[in-house]
Amino acid sequence: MVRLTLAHDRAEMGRLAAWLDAREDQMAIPARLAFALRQCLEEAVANLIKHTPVTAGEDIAVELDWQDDTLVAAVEDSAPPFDPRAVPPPVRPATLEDAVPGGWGIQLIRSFASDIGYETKAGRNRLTMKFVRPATGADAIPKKS
Amino acid sequence: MDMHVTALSQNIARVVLAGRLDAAGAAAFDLPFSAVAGSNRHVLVDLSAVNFVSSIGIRTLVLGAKTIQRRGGKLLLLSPSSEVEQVLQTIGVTDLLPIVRDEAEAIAAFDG
Repeated sequence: MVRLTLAHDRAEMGRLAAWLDAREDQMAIPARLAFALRQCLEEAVANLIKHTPVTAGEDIAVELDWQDDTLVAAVEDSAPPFDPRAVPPPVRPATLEDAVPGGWGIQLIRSFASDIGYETKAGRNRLTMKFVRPATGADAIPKKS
Repeated sequence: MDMHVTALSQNIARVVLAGRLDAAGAAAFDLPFSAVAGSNRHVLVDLSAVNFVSSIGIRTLVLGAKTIQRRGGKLLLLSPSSEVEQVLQTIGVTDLLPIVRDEAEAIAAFDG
């Protein structure tokens, strides 16, 4: 298992991206799986930095681990409990005039992760996202039906 | 994230993006792209060299498209990769940010 600790600061998003670059090689993550993983971690961490209050000394932790053919990513934080699985999908605007960007990150996580888990324990939230390695020769982005 | 702007015609700016349109990239892309959207009738955003896009980057594109539409213009996306297009489809913005495959298709859509 590998772990990255980030400060609650938008400037840390570049560090997350660089860390993922290195882990893709180190952990031999297939390209399409790496795309889905990056999508979900980028959205999960950006949402935390944007929407949760900054508390001095508290961090955001990102973990990655292969469990057989499943890559498990976890994001931990100390913000007030928030279960993204309970959020209804955003309404799709019919016109540009009606379009108000927002709620897209959770929608992308739901689509690109094979499975999503959430728990809160001892003041820490833990969001878990799973990515199943595609069968040999079928290097496709995992997509829910 | 790299961005450069050329004139496709008198009324159409072509914005070529390269790299990741993620949170880190969008921080550098947001202001210059808003300036292009505010000063051109039509904008063609070439995504062929963009290998990743997050919701923050798409937000900038949608806000730019709103600005352009208010002045009677259009914003089109040129040749996103299949992965980037899947992201756009997942959040349902391909009707708002139409995709074209080449410049001829773009010019016809801008004229239409």
